[in-house]
This record gives sequence, C-alpha cells and structure tokens, in this order.
Amino acid sequence: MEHSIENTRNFCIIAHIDHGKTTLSDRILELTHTIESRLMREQTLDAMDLERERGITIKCHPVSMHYTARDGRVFRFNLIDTPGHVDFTYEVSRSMGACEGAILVVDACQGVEAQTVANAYLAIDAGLEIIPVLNKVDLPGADVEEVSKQVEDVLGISMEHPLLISAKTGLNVDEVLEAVVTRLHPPKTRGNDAPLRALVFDSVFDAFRGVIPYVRVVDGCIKAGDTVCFLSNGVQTQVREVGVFSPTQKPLAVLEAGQVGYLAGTIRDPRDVKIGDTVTTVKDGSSEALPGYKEVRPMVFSGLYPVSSDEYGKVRNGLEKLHLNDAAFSFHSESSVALGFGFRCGFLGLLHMEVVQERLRREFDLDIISTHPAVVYKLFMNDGTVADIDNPTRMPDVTRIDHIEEPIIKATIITPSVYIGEIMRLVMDRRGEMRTTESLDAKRVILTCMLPLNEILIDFHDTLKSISRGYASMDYEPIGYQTSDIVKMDILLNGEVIDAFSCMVHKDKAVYRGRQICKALSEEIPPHMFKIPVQATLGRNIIAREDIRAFRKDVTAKLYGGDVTRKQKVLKKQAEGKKRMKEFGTVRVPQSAFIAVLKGGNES
Amino acid sequence: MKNLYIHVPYCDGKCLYCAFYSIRGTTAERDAYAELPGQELTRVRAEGVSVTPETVYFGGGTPSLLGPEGLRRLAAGLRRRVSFERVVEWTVEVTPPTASDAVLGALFEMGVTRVSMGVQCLNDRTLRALGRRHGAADAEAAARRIRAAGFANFGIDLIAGLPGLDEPGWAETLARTLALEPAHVSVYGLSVEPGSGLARQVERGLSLPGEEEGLAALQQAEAALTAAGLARYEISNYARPGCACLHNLACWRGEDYLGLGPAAASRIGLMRRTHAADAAAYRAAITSGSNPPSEEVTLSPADDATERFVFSLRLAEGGSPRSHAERWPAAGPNVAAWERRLDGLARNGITEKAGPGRWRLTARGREVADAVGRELL
Ligand SMILES: Nc1nc2c(ncn2[C@@H]2O[C@H](COP(=O)(O)OP(=O)(O)O)[C@@H](O)[C@H]2O)c(=O)[nH]1
Ligand code: SF4
Repeated sequence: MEHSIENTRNFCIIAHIDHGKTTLSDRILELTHTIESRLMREQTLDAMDLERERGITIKCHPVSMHYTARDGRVFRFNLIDTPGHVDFTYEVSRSMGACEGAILVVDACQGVEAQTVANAYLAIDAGLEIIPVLNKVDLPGADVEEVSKQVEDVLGISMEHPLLISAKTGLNVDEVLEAVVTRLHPPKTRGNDAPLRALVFDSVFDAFRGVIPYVRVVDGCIKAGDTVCFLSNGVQTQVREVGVFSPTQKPLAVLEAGQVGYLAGTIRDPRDVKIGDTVTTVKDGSSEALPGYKEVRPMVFSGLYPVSSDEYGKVRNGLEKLHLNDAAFSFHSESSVALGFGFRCGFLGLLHMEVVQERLRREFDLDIISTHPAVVYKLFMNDGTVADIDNPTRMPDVTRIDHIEEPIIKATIITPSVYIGEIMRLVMDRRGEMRTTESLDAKRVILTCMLPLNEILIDFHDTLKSISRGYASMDYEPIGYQTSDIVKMDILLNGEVIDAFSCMVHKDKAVYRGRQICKALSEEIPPHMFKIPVQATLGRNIIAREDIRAFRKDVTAKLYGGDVTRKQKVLKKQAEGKKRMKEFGTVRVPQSAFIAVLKGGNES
Repeated sequence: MKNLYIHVPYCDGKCLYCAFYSIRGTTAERDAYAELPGQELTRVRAEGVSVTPETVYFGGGTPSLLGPEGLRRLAAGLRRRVSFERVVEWTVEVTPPTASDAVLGALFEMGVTRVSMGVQCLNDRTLRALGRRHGAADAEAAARRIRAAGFANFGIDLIAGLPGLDEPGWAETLARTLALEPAHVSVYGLSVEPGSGLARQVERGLSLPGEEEGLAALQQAEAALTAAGLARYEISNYARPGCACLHNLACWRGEDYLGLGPAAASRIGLMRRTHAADAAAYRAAITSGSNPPSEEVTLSPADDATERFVFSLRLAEGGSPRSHAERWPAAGPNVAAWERRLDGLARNGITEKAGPGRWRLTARGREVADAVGRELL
C-alpha cells in the first residue's frame, strides 16, 4: 500500500508506569488489525521481565500500522516506543525526535505522577504535539475533573477536549486514533529529493547482519546499494537492505522522507551506531546534522568481578553480548588487589546498573560481585589540570588536589502532602537542597530539589518509597557539577585495606557511612577463628569500627585411627561452603556482604 | 604395614556418652570372637598387604572383657600369622571392673607394654549418672592393680566438662588421677554424639555445662597435668617424656594402619576401609571365608596426601608442609598454599612456628583445630 507523506503519522505513547501504556498500545494494534501485540512482545522481548519488575515500562520495537480514518483516507501510523525511565532520558528524547506527536496517558485514578511530568516535559522540549488521554475512566475511583486540572496546572497542557478512555474496555480508543489523524501533523520534510538526513533513534544487533540502526528519515530517501555514513564519527557502510516494521522487519525498495524504518549494512561494532546520530549518503549527502545529538556518557561506575577467578572469561563474554544491544554501557578490564581481575563498567544511571548486573546473573548464570558504585568526580589539581575520576582506587594523593567537584542532579518528587516533612528530612540528610514545593491537588505536592548524585546511589529510592508507603514517585536529571568536600574512605578487614570497599564520600557523611558499612560487613561476614576488626578510615584516622567475634570452639575431642577418614570427609564437606566466598588475606567474605554494603546496611 | 589395630566390640553395659560401636554380646559370642581378627588378618595378607607390626592396639569396646583366655587366644591368633618381633608398643584398653589381676597378669605375660584405662572422672555420682559400672574407688584400685602387675606405662582417660562436675570437683578428679602416677592421661572434651544416650537426654532437656565451662575445664586440666610433668603432645593427650602412645602418633603423623574387627578402620596406601559396625555380620563373613562388609574408597594421590597432613597439626610437634611433601610427593602442589594459610593463621594467633617451615597450633588454635583443618582442604 502506498502512502504519501501527508498520510503518515509518527507518534509515541508516554505514561507513568502502570498508567496503561501497554494496554492502550494493544488496543490500537487491534483496531488497526495489526499483529497481536502480545505475540510481538513475546517474540522480541523475552529478556525484559526484569525491566518490568523494576518499574520500567517495556520498550517495544517500532511498529507500522494502517488506519482507515472516518473520512475514508488510509494512513500509515508509526508507533515508536520509548524506554520510559530517567536513566534513558536521552534515548527517550531521541525516540521522540522521530515523532511529531505523543499520546500522554494519565491514569484518571492516580493522577499525574513523576514520570508523567518528566516524559511530558521531554515531549514538549522535543516540540511534539501532545494528545492528553485520561485512562481507566471505567473505574469508580476515576476523577476526571481533578486529574484534568492537574494536567493543565502542572503540565500546562490544555484539556479543552479531553479524551476519556478505558484502554481495558476499548471505550473511546477509536477517538484517540482519530485524534492522531486530526491533531498531529504529517512529517515535516524537505522532500525525497533533498540530501539524505535520517535520525538514528535505536538499534539492535543481529548475529547475521550486525548492527541494525532504526531510523526516521527526515529528508531524502535511502535504498539498498547506497553508501551511507554517520555524521558523528564518519563510519561508512554500504546499505544492503532497508525496510519498515510491519510489524516485523519487512524489506522495501526505498525508505522515503517522513518514514520510520531500519537499514541493514555491514556494521559489526555496536559502538559505531550512536543514538541521535544523523545518517546521510556519502555521495551528495548532507553535512548538516539533525539537532539534539549528544555523546552519552556513563554517569555511574562500578567494578564487576567474578566470584571465582576462573569465570573471568565468562563475564567478559556476557558483557560483550549485552553490550551488542546496549551500547550505552561501557566496560573495560581492571584489576583489584582484593578481587583480582574484573571489569570497570559505566552506566547511564542506577537502574541501568542494576539491570545490567541482574541480567548477567540471570541470563548468563554468573556469580558476580559489584564494588561500591561511584560517580565521576572532577579533580582540580594544584598544577591546573583537571582529572575525571570514577574509581576511588585511582584517587591521587590528596596534597596534589586543589578541590573536587561532584555531579548534581535535579530531582522531581511527587508525594502525598502528609509525607513532605519526612521527605524533606531525607533530602537534607542526603546533602540536598529543596527548591520548590507546589501543590498538585488537594492531597499531593510536587517537590523539586538538588541533590548530589552520589547521595542517591545507595538506597535513596527505597527509602523514599518506604517513607511514603510506596506513594511517592521520583525522577531526576543531571544538571552539572558543584564543588564539594569529597574524601576517599577505605575499609579495612583485619587490618588490611580492601580496595573493593573503598568509596568516595562527603566529609560530613563519612562517619555515618563508615559506621553503616562496618555494621553491614560485621553482620554478613561469618565468625572466623579469630576476632576480625572491621574499620573505616580516612587517611590514617579510624572513623568507625565493628568487631566480628570469633567463634568459640570447633574441635573434635577424640580423634583416633578409625575416625580420621570419616572426620576428613566431614571437614571436606564443610569446606565446600567456603568456596563461594571471596577470600581477602585470612578473611572470607560472602557475596551477601557486598550486597549489604550497597544496600547501605540496616538504617541504624 | 606397621600399625595394627584390633577392635573388640563388647562391653558390660553402655555408657551414656558413648557412640563407639560396642554391644554386650553373649559369653559364647565373645569367646568365639577371639579367633576372628586373626582369620581376617590372613585375608588381608592374601590381598598382598605385608604386615610387620611395630605398634599393636587392642581397643574397643572393652578388650579386657574377653578375659585372660580370650585375650591370649586373640593375641595368639595374630601372632600365628605375623611376627610380633618388631613390636615396640602393644596397648590394651581396660575398664576398672574388668582389669582383674588375672587379666592384667595375662597381658603382662603376653608381652603387652601399655595398658589404657577409661575412668572419665573420679566422682561417684557423676559416674553413676554416666552409666559407668564402677565407682571412683574402684578405678583407683584398678590403677593400683595395673601398676602392681608391672605396667609402669599405663594411661588414664578422662572427660572434661561432665555434668555435675564443677570446678572443685574436676580439680579433685585431676588431683586423684595424678596421685595414681599414670604415664599418660587423655582428656577429652565432652561431646554429645548423635545416637548416644546423652543425645537423647539432652533432647529431653538435660542441660550440660556450656562451651565456656567446657573450655575452662580443659584449661584446668592442662594446667594441672603439665604441672605434674605430663606434656600435652596432642590436643587431648598428655604423657611423661617417652610415654606418648606410638600407635596413635603414627596415625596422626599420617602413617598407614590396619584395623581388624567390626567397625575398625584401615588406611592402606590410597585405600580407606571401614568395616560395618555389625559384629554378627563380621563373624558370619569371616567364618564363611568372605570379606567382612565394609565401606571402601580409594582416594586420589592428592587427597590421600592431604588427609595424611591435615591432622598432624593436632600434635605439639606440628606439621611441616615441605617435609610432608618429601614423604608424600602428591602433596607437592599444596605446599605453597598450606604455608601461606598457616602463616596467615599465625598472624592471627591460631598457629605458630615450630621450627623452620613447621607450624603447630597455639592454645587458641587447639580450641578450633577442626576449622584449621578445613583451611588446609
Ligand atoms: N480498569 C482498567 N484497568 C486498566 C486500564 N488500562 C490499563 N489497565 C490496567 O492497569 C494495569 C497497568 O497497565 P499497563 O498497560 O500494563 O501499564 P503500563 O505500565 O503503562 O504499560 C494493568 O493491570 C491493566 O490491565 C483501564 O482502562 N481500565
Ligand atoms: S566402656 Fe567404653 S566403649 Fe564401652 S560403652 Fe563405655 S565408653 Fe563405650
């Protein structure tokens, strides 16, 4: 079926988790007689349970649909999904860059939430036309008037013609489709004859065809046989195939201006294909990059180590495989005195970190230990140079440092107003600064605050959730750097520094954090034959200490000939258990201790 | 094969704490038993194990329950098959009620060099509670009989941390024991063995002295015994100079030993064999000319060499990974790791150097010896 540019609509659906994005997508696919989305999800997204568990909405491949409007015209709809989580803000904004409009789904019972705000602002910034939709109006708790007011007040989006739907029952979903036709613009383009400019908004790795970029053709067109290049890095490839998603990859002769599709070339390294980059033809191409491209830099770093050193190769293999479909995380080998050989990994954010680590554990069945997460500090040295440090063990001598800057984020928290006091205390406690407090409705407020990224690395989100009985939602974005009194804290086990536990902390928080870590370790490390002091130190000063008591006694009283072999067997069996622990000098540390340290131990 | 152990599985009753294999048996069964270990020895030699004992140990159970005649026949059965010419130590275990003049006289005549007597404590109430079939005075009288029979080299076994024996009570047991002038004293910390009567009583609510009290009792024993000139040459064993039990030393030092009788265990090269704890099955097998039921494993040379080393640390002389590997080359690859571990433990006060490349347990190390053993596996 041929579609003119006039009859094309590119859009996305944005929502806070559980507000109904998936359900609405399903209904839309049904109404347009496209393949059942459930099937599609099963095919393409088998590994994503984890994202679901962690509260990220599932990201689907883009899908093309045919829609016959009420006036009889036939449209091509390209629905582009977004990953819907703060860690992937840049990717979200680039996906939006491939669209002209967004359907903003708000649960009419829950109202506006933190990710509603974050996503809506991203869409507004991307210049998208927004179609607000109140979902779940079939439920008795739906408060259309109140939630409409929130959308207008908080997001500044007009609710003059509200679409009140139930994605579940299908009520008014057809109106949403009509709104896509009438309220969204067709793609703006310089036409098929203009020099090619296509926006890369995603990519996948295919074992046979290498990296396949997903593109939105802005100007010009692409066909098989063209030699194209990426403007950011000059990487060239010959196009072997172009096509659209209908709903799986379907080859076409040519991908025209305004269309959304994929191109297959001969690219093997996922790092060559950068989200937000511009593709153009080598011959008669454009030198004008599409706006908005950014080099994404990891924000959070941590060391990943196999529990047993002979699994190093397996970990590398796992990281390489994950990296093929997620070029946003970086890794390179490093070694730790305590942990041996492993990898330093960079992530876009906390959740991204957890997801990658958890996937290594689950999909590759690896026992891994992760070191204390760290952010990137800027070290301003006495000699005028500036160094980026993401690993505490790389800290130069303090006397050479003039001052240190740390990354700051701006957080938006939406919470029932009753919890304001406690949340403010939490923010203060984490060295944060409150900026604004606005009421969202009679019961809820939006707080904005500045926080050092370092302070939310560990258990901030969990604490926020527990303070608010699960009702508060949060979103954040990095906003720059700020001078700060950051020091390196070491942890000693039985008198030896264990570099894997070293971390950067604010001076004022060092004692608290040191106690937390010592306590967590002392609770997780089983008693040994001897007493083990667990100490936190700043330079030479011990700022916290816990002792792991020795077990009192472990000896067979009477051991004679007949017993030896039996006893030996028993000892051997008991000794097996130790193999899963990491050995530091004479101290054995179970994996759970590493996790406990990252969880911040029990709040005392 | 230089070390020979014969298990005599009969007792005149069952002590509360005991988990050794022992049964009462009928007089006829006990009489018949005296012939069996000798017959088993024939089978073992037929397997190609050459046996020239240097140490012999009759343990149990209660070997003395066989009586003078039974003991003579048991010994004769062995000596008919292998020469006792090289034997430098021959130990027989006795209990106070069975250590009669007749038995002791027979033992002396046979050439037994050492008698070891289980006494446990010298407190009548506790002895009764333990189900022992004798009182404190009986034990003392038996010790005097042993001496009088010509055994200057005799040992007494005690148990530390018994219920009902407080610190002065334990001090009294130690003092009265020393007054008997034994050449050897074993002191075992009380342990609740699964399946023992004690285990059942504990389950029903019997409370035992705690870990601290148990360890204190052991320390008290060490102080008293060493002051009297008995050196602690193994975790649970004290002896006057030259009176350490050679048979047990050989087994802690990693030598081979051959065990005959039901429930007896052997270490023969890479092979480990433990006979089933079943006297009837043992008798049936031996008399019908077949092998007694047993569990047998063959270790890898590396595991074998490791096992032979692990328990040497229980000895005051300690162990040397390097010299062990000279004797047992399969331990070679472990030497560096063992030395590193023993050194690490030394830094934490668990082991200490006992000469170049040699380590032994410290006082604290002796309280956690099994954990040290695990470190070496
Ligand atoms: N009653 C009702 N439930 C809905 C409606 N839309 C979605 N849900 C339910 O809300 C939950 C979250 O929906 P889902 O589409 O998975 O949300 P997503 O996280 O935004 O993709 C699911 O249990 C849906 O069945 C609706 O219109 N009415
Ligand atoms: S006499 Fe010895 S072997 Fe016999 S039951 Fe008592 S403790 Fe056990």
